[in-house]
Amino acid sequence: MEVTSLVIREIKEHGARAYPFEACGFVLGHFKNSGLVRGEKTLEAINSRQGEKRRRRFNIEAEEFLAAERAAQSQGLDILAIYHSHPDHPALPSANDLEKALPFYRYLIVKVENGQAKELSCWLLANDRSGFLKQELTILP
Amino acid sequence: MSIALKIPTALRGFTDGLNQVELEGDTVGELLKKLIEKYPDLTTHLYDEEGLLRSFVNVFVDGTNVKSLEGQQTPVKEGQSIMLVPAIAGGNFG
Repeated sequence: MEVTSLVIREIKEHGARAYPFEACGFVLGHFKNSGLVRGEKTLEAINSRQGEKRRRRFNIEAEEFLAAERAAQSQGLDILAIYHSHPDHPALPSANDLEKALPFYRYLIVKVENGQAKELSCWLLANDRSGFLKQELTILP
Repeated sequence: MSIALKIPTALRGFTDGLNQVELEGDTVGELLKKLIEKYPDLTTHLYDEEGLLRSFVNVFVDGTNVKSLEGQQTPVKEGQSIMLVPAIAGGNFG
């Protein structure tokens, strides 16, 4: 997956701002003929989990997903990826991520440690749901 | 009675790229069962190991989430707008 440096910066800023809770949102962009996807914008989502549960879980309601899809289409873009933060935990998909993951979309996970955004990784669910496949992330200027 | 079920982008790789599938059924649950009969590779994404619909799978009938209607027992009829819509969820370790 290719993403602009602005996308990376916005995901990290959102993760740091939401700390100690999980941030979540969408990456919008284009599918390329080569099969690559290129993320160009972020769209923040509301973590609908309540209270302290937001430290360890995120949820984006179906209604918000539909609204995001419409917002993307109105700009000539598609939803390419879902991002979320892992406060004080590694940028690796958890069992909970696997249980609830969708195929097709890339999953970007950013580690936020003591309020500072750290590394970010990119994953794709295997079609048989056996696990996540790590994806190369190319950052464009 | 043939009813059109709209398929979200994330699952079109399992429906031969179709964004809409024509199915027979009187309820949302029947449509979903017909869908996985037609496209068996979808089963693992819609249902868990115990055969229960995964929590992130939502169906909207004429713009209303069936979770606020009769769930999978919600009746459907030709001409209604019926959409499969994912919620997104996940989270940290522990």
